[in-house]
Amino acid sequence: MTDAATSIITVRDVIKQFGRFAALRGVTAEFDAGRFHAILGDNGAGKTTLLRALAGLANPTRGEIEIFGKSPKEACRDLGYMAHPSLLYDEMSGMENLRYFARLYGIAGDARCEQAIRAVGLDPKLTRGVGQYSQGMRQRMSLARAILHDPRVLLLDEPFSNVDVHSAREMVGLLGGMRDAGKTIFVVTHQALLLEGVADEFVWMEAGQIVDRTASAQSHAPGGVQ
Amino acid sequence: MNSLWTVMLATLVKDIRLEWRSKDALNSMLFFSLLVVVIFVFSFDPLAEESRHIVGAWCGWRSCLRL
Repeated sequence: MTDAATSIITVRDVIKQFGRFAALRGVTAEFDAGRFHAILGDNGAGKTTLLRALAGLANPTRGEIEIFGKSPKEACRDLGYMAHPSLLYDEMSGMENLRYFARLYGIAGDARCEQAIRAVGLDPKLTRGVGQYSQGMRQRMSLARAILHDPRVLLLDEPFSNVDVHSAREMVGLLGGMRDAGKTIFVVTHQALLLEGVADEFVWMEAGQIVDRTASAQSHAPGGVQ
Repeated sequence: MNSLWTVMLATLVKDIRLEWRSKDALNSMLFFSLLVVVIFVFSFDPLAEESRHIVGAWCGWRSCLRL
Protein backbone atom coordinates (compact mmCIF):
# COMPACT_ATOMS: atom_id res chain seq x y z
CA MET A 1 0.00 0.00 0.00
CA THR A 2 2.81 2.39 0.86
CA ASP A 3 6.14 2.68 -0.85
CA ALA A 4 8.94 2.95 1.70
CA ALA A 5 11.03 4.98 -0.77
CA THR A 6 8.59 7.88 -0.76
CA SER A 7 7.15 7.63 2.74
CA ILE A 8 7.81 10.83 4.69
CA ILE A 9 5.92 10.04 7.86
CA THR A 10 6.57 6.94 9.89
CA VAL A 11 4.49 6.03 12.93
CA ARG A 12 5.86 3.12 14.95
CA ASP A 13 3.79 1.34 17.59
CA VAL A 14 2.45 4.60 19.02
CA ILE A 15 0.46 4.40 22.22
CA LYS A 16 -1.08 7.48 23.79
CA GLN A 17 -2.70 7.19 27.19
CA PHE A 18 -4.76 9.72 29.09
CA GLY A 19 -4.63 8.31 32.59
CA ARG A 20 -5.92 4.75 32.26
CA PHE A 21 -7.62 5.41 28.94
CA ALA A 22 -5.60 4.60 25.83
CA ALA A 23 -6.60 6.88 22.94
CA LEU A 24 -4.05 5.27 20.60
CA ARG A 25 -3.25 1.57 20.96
CA GLY A 26 -0.15 0.66 19.01
CA VAL A 27 -0.61 2.60 15.78
CA THR A 28 1.93 1.69 13.11
CA ALA A 29 1.78 3.24 9.65
CA GLU A 30 3.74 4.93 6.88
CA PHE A 31 2.42 7.81 4.83
CA ASP A 32 3.65 8.89 1.42
CA ALA A 33 4.56 12.38 0.24
CA GLY A 34 2.21 14.40 -1.94
CA ARG A 35 -0.88 12.40 -1.08
CA PHE A 36 -4.24 13.31 0.39
CA HIS A 37 -5.03 11.12 3.41
CA ALA A 38 -8.51 11.20 4.94
CA ILE A 39 -8.64 9.89 8.51
CA LEU A 40 -12.04 8.51 9.38
CA GLY A 41 -13.71 6.80 12.30
CA ASP A 42 -16.30 7.17 15.02
CA ASN A 43 -16.03 9.61 17.92
CA GLY A 44 -13.30 8.46 20.30
CA ALA A 45 -11.55 6.36 17.64
CA GLY A 46 -8.33 8.33 18.14
CA LYS A 47 -8.32 10.44 14.94
CA THR A 48 -7.67 13.80 16.60
CA THR A 49 -5.13 12.28 19.00
CA LEU A 50 -3.23 10.79 16.05
CA LEU A 51 -3.29 14.17 14.26
CA ARG A 52 -2.12 15.98 17.40
CA ALA A 53 0.67 13.43 17.83
CA LEU A 54 1.74 14.01 14.21
CA ALA A 55 1.70 17.78 14.86
CA GLY A 56 3.87 17.35 17.97
CA LEU A 57 1.12 18.65 20.24
CA ALA A 58 0.64 15.33 22.05
CA ASN A 59 3.65 13.29 23.12
CA PRO A 60 3.12 9.56 22.62
CA THR A 61 3.26 7.54 25.82
CA ARG A 62 5.20 4.92 23.87
CA GLY A 63 6.41 4.49 20.31
CA GLU A 64 7.83 7.08 17.93
CA ILE A 65 6.86 9.31 15.05
CA GLU A 66 9.25 10.52 12.38
CA ILE A 67 8.46 13.25 9.87
CA PHE A 68 11.15 13.80 7.23
CA GLY A 69 13.42 11.75 9.51
CA LYS A 70 12.91 14.13 12.44
CA SER A 71 10.65 14.26 15.47
CA PRO A 72 7.41 16.22 14.96
CA LYS A 73 8.67 19.09 17.14
CA GLU A 74 11.88 19.35 15.11
CA ALA A 75 9.86 19.25 11.89
CA CYS A 76 7.34 21.87 13.02
CA ARG A 77 8.40 24.34 10.29
CA ASP A 78 7.21 21.80 7.74
CA LEU A 79 3.84 21.28 9.45
CA GLY A 80 0.69 23.34 9.15
CA TYR A 81 -1.95 22.48 11.74
CA MET A 82 -5.57 23.52 11.73
CA ALA A 83 -7.32 22.73 15.01
CA HIS A 84 -11.02 22.11 15.46
CA PRO A 85 -11.63 25.60 16.93
CA SER A 86 -10.45 28.37 14.60
CA LEU A 87 -8.03 29.92 17.17
CA LEU A 88 -8.31 33.33 15.51
CA TYR A 89 -8.70 36.68 17.27
CA ASP A 90 -12.30 37.82 16.74
CA GLU A 91 -11.58 41.56 17.16
CA MET A 92 -8.94 41.61 14.43
CA SER A 93 -9.49 41.36 10.69
CA GLY A 94 -8.26 38.34 8.74
CA MET A 95 -5.25 40.26 7.46
CA GLU A 96 -4.33 41.46 10.96
CA ASN A 97 -4.62 37.92 12.30
CA LEU A 98 -2.35 36.53 9.59
CA ARG A 99 0.10 39.44 9.97
CA TYR A 100 0.50 38.54 13.65
CA PHE A 101 1.11 34.84 12.95
CA ALA A 102 3.47 35.79 10.11
CA ARG A 103 5.62 37.79 12.55
CA LEU A 104 5.74 34.75 14.86
CA TYR A 105 7.03 32.69 11.93
CA GLY A 106 9.52 35.45 11.08
CA ILE A 107 7.81 36.33 7.79
CA ALA A 108 8.24 40.03 7.00
CA GLY A 109 5.88 42.09 4.86
CA ASP A 110 2.29 41.45 3.86
CA ALA A 111 2.77 39.70 0.51
CA ARG A 112 2.73 36.17 1.95
CA CYS A 113 -0.37 36.95 4.09
CA GLU A 114 -2.27 38.31 1.08
CA GLN A 115 -1.21 35.28 -0.95
CA ALA A 116 -2.47 32.86 1.75
CA ILE A 117 -5.82 34.68 2.06
CA ARG A 118 -6.31 34.71 -1.72
CA ALA A 119 -5.35 31.01 -1.88
CA VAL A 120 -8.37 30.15 0.27
CA GLY A 121 -10.69 32.34 -1.79
CA LEU A 122 -11.05 35.32 0.57
CA ASP A 123 -10.33 39.00 0.09
CA PRO A 124 -7.34 40.37 2.07
CA LYS A 125 -8.95 43.83 2.05
CA LEU A 126 -11.88 42.74 4.26
CA THR A 127 -11.70 45.09 7.26
CA ARG A 128 -14.33 43.62 9.57
CA GLY A 129 -13.28 41.47 12.49
CA VAL A 130 -13.07 37.70 12.14
CA GLY A 131 -15.83 37.49 14.77
CA GLN A 132 -18.24 38.81 12.13
CA TYR A 133 -17.21 36.24 9.52
CA SER A 134 -19.48 33.33 8.63
CA GLN A 135 -18.41 29.87 9.84
CA GLY A 136 -17.22 28.95 6.34
CA MET A 137 -15.10 32.10 6.14
CA ARG A 138 -13.61 31.41 9.55
CA GLN A 139 -12.66 27.89 8.52
CA ARG A 140 -11.06 29.27 5.37
CA MET A 141 -9.15 31.87 7.35
CA SER A 142 -8.00 29.13 9.72
CA LEU A 143 -6.78 27.20 6.69
CA ALA A 144 -5.00 30.34 5.44
CA ARG A 145 -3.17 30.51 8.77
CA ALA A 146 -2.17 26.84 8.46
CA ILE A 147 -0.63 27.40 4.99
CA LEU A 148 0.90 30.78 5.85
CA HIS A 149 4.48 29.49 6.24
CA ASP A 150 4.17 27.23 3.19
CA PRO A 151 4.45 23.90 5.06
CA ARG A 152 5.00 20.63 3.22
CA VAL A 153 2.51 18.75 5.38
CA LEU A 154 -0.98 19.96 6.29
CA LEU A 155 -2.80 18.47 9.29
CA LEU A 156 -6.46 19.51 9.34
CA ASP A 157 -8.84 18.57 12.13
CA GLU A 158 -12.45 18.56 10.94
CA PRO A 159 -12.11 21.51 8.54
CA PHE A 160 -15.64 20.99 7.19
CA SER A 161 -17.51 20.96 10.50
CA ASN A 162 -20.36 23.52 10.63
CA VAL A 163 -19.70 24.41 7.01
CA ASP A 164 -22.45 24.18 4.38
CA VAL A 165 -22.06 21.62 1.61
CA HIS A 166 -21.26 24.20 -1.07
CA SER A 167 -18.46 25.82 0.98
CA ALA A 168 -17.18 22.40 2.05
CA ARG A 169 -16.94 21.31 -1.61
CA GLU A 170 -15.03 24.49 -2.42
CA MET A 171 -12.63 23.75 0.45
CA VAL A 172 -12.15 20.20 -0.78
CA GLY A 173 -11.32 21.60 -4.22
CA LEU A 174 -8.78 23.94 -2.63
CA LEU A 175 -7.18 21.08 -0.73
CA GLY A 176 -7.07 18.96 -3.90
CA GLY A 177 -5.21 21.82 -5.60
CA MET A 178 -2.73 21.99 -2.74
CA ARG A 179 -2.15 18.24 -2.98
CA ASP A 180 -1.54 18.64 -6.72
CA ALA A 181 1.02 21.32 -5.84
CA GLY A 182 2.93 18.68 -3.87
CA LYS A 183 1.66 19.08 -0.34
CA THR A 184 0.89 16.07 1.85
CA ILE A 185 -2.53 16.49 3.42
CA PHE A 186 -4.20 14.78 6.36
CA VAL A 187 -7.85 15.54 6.99
CA VAL A 188 -9.75 14.23 9.99
CA THR A 189 -13.43 14.23 9.11
CA HIS A 190 -16.76 12.48 9.48
CA GLN A 191 -17.78 13.45 5.94
CA ALA A 192 -16.04 10.70 4.00
CA LEU A 193 -18.19 10.99 0.88
CA LEU A 194 -17.23 14.64 0.50
CA LEU A 195 -13.64 13.54 -0.12
CA GLU A 196 -14.51 10.72 -2.52
CA GLY A 197 -12.58 11.20 -5.76
CA VAL A 198 -10.24 13.76 -4.20
CA ALA A 199 -8.54 11.93 -1.33
CA ASP A 200 -5.93 9.35 -2.36
CA GLU A 201 -6.38 7.21 0.70
CA PHE A 202 -8.96 6.67 3.41
CA VAL A 203 -7.49 5.65 6.75
CA TRP A 204 -10.08 4.02 9.03
CA MET A 205 -9.62 4.06 12.78
CA GLU A 206 -11.42 2.15 15.50
CA ALA A 207 -10.70 2.07 19.23
CA GLY A 208 -7.29 3.73 18.88
CA GLN A 209 -6.05 1.59 16.00
CA ILE A 210 -5.86 1.86 12.22
CA VAL A 211 -8.07 -0.97 11.02
CA ASP A 212 -8.19 -0.34 7.28
CA ARG A 213 -6.67 1.77 4.52
CA THR A 214 -8.67 2.00 1.32
CA ALA A 215 -8.59 3.94 -1.93
CA SER A 216 -12.30 4.67 -1.77
CA ALA A 217 -14.59 5.69 1.06
CA GLN A 218 -17.10 3.05 0.01
CA SER A 219 -14.71 0.09 -0.12
CA HIS A 220 -14.23 -0.07 3.65
CA ALA A 221 -15.48 -3.27 5.23
CA PRO A 222 -16.34 -2.58 8.90
CA GLY A 223 -14.26 -4.79 11.17
CA GLY A 224 -11.54 -5.22 8.51
CA VAL A 225 -7.95 -5.46 9.66
CA GLN A 226 -5.04 -3.46 8.31
CA MET B 1 14.22 31.20 13.73
CA ASN B 2 12.48 34.35 14.75
CA SER B 3 14.08 36.51 17.44
CA LEU B 4 12.53 36.79 20.88
CA TRP B 5 12.20 40.57 20.53
CA THR B 6 10.24 40.30 17.27
CA VAL B 7 7.85 37.81 18.87
CA MET B 8 7.46 39.99 21.97
CA LEU B 9 6.83 43.12 19.90
CA ALA B 10 4.31 41.35 17.65
CA THR B 11 2.47 39.99 20.70
CA LEU B 12 2.51 43.39 22.43
CA VAL B 13 1.09 45.15 19.36
CA LYS B 14 -1.55 42.43 19.02
CA ASP B 15 -2.56 42.65 22.71
CA ILE B 16 -2.79 46.47 22.64
CA ARG B 17 -4.86 46.34 19.46
CA LEU B 18 -7.23 43.73 20.96
CA GLU B 19 -7.54 45.71 24.19
CA TRP B 20 -8.17 48.97 22.33
CA ARG B 21 -11.03 47.33 20.46
CA SER B 22 -12.61 45.18 23.18
CA LYS B 23 -11.72 47.30 26.26
CA ASP B 24 -12.35 44.22 28.43
CA ALA B 25 -9.33 44.54 30.72
CA LEU B 26 -9.47 48.35 30.73
CA ASN B 27 -12.98 48.42 32.22
CA SER B 28 -12.14 45.96 34.98
CA MET B 29 -8.83 47.77 35.61
CA LEU B 30 -10.56 51.14 36.08
CA PHE B 31 -13.17 49.58 38.36
CA PHE B 32 -10.45 47.87 40.42
CA SER B 33 -8.41 51.06 40.80
CA LEU B 34 -11.52 52.98 41.90
CA LEU B 35 -12.24 50.24 44.43
CA VAL B 36 -8.68 50.46 45.80
CA VAL B 37 -8.97 54.23 46.20
CA VAL B 38 -12.28 53.86 48.07
CA ILE B 39 -10.80 51.19 50.37
CA PHE B 40 -7.76 53.36 51.12
CA VAL B 41 -9.97 56.36 51.88
CA PHE B 42 -11.79 54.31 54.51
CA SER B 43 -8.64 52.59 55.78
CA PHE B 44 -6.45 55.64 56.43
CA ASP B 45 -7.58 58.56 58.47
CA PRO B 46 -5.70 61.58 57.03
CA LEU B 47 -5.61 63.21 60.45
CA ALA B 48 -4.08 60.20 62.20
CA GLU B 49 -0.47 60.28 63.35
CA GLU B 50 0.39 57.15 61.34
CA SER B 51 -0.84 58.73 58.09
CA ARG B 52 1.35 61.78 58.70
CA HIS B 53 4.32 59.44 59.16
CA ILE B 54 3.57 57.73 55.84
CA VAL B 55 3.32 61.08 54.04
CA GLY B 56 6.48 62.23 55.76
CA ALA B 57 8.37 59.12 54.70
CA TRP B 58 7.22 59.58 51.12
CA CYS B 59 8.32 63.23 51.11
CA GLY B 60 11.71 62.14 52.51
CA TRP B 61 12.19 59.60 49.74
CA ARG B 62 11.10 62.18 47.14
CA SER B 63 13.71 64.68 48.31
CA CYS B 64 16.38 61.92 48.36
CA LEU B 65 15.54 60.92 44.79
CA ARG B 66 15.14 64.60 43.77
CA LEU B 67 11.82 63.98 42.07
